Amino acid sequence: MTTAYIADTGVFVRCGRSDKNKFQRLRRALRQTGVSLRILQRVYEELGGDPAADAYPSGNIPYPDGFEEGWIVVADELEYANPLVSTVMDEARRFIANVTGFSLETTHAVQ
Amino acid sequence: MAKSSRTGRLPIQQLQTVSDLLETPTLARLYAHILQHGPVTVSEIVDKLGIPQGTAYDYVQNLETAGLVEQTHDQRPYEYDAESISLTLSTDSETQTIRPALIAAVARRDEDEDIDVYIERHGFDGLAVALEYAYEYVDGTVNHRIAARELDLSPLEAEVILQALEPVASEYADAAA
Repeated sequence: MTTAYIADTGVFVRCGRSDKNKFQRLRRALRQTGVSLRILQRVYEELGGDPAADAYPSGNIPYPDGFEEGWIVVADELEYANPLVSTVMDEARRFIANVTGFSLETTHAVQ
Repeated sequence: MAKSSRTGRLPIQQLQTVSDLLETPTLARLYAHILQHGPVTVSEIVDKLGIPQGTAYDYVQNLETAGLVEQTHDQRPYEYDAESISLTLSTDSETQTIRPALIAAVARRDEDEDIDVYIERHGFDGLAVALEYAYEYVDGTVNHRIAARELDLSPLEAEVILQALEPVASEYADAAA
């Protein structure tokens, strides 16, 4: 069994907020332990997709360094035909819908 | 005393006070501090907020005249407590209520440039709406993607402002409930 570390956009914004050293501490911790953070293609697009966000100190995230140094990698797309993947997705959506009161369609859009 | 706190509740006068609070982040910080931590003395305010003593006295006096702050201790050192604010403004199509949490969010713009940039781009109305989502974000019922879609922002900009407003939303969660 392997463990994958999955990071959402918020992790990188959090590390850029107020204390820029946080990003360097994250980088150091990951490189020392040899762990990579996997991000969805969607997260990759969010991090780099909005020039307007550059106006914000916390929107200006040095994530490209992570790709160059190999501690951030874009995860492969999930294969929904795989029964394990589709079962986990369905359960996750049902859980989110129950907790938030959003419809199943909405949970698809926000995952 | 009764007279001043009464005049503070007159809508148009309150509008002027609220306008001062929105335009003067240090005044907003002082008001938010008294509201959350009062009764407090002016020297406690000076120590906590690191603002000049003269400014602190002037601002407390301004807020007292406007009926938002009241002296609660008759002998020196004088102590002050604050009245919660709630001013609802309506135009033909929109209604917005200004509450202490919005004042507290504006108060952070000097120390948090993300909030400052957001106000420059989306105004106080935009900030007030983002704050509503920040409560749900702190609660875990909304993420940056839902907020982005509904506020018509990019997901990154939504995440930035939600995280910036997180301390205010956490502090004022009870008042919003």
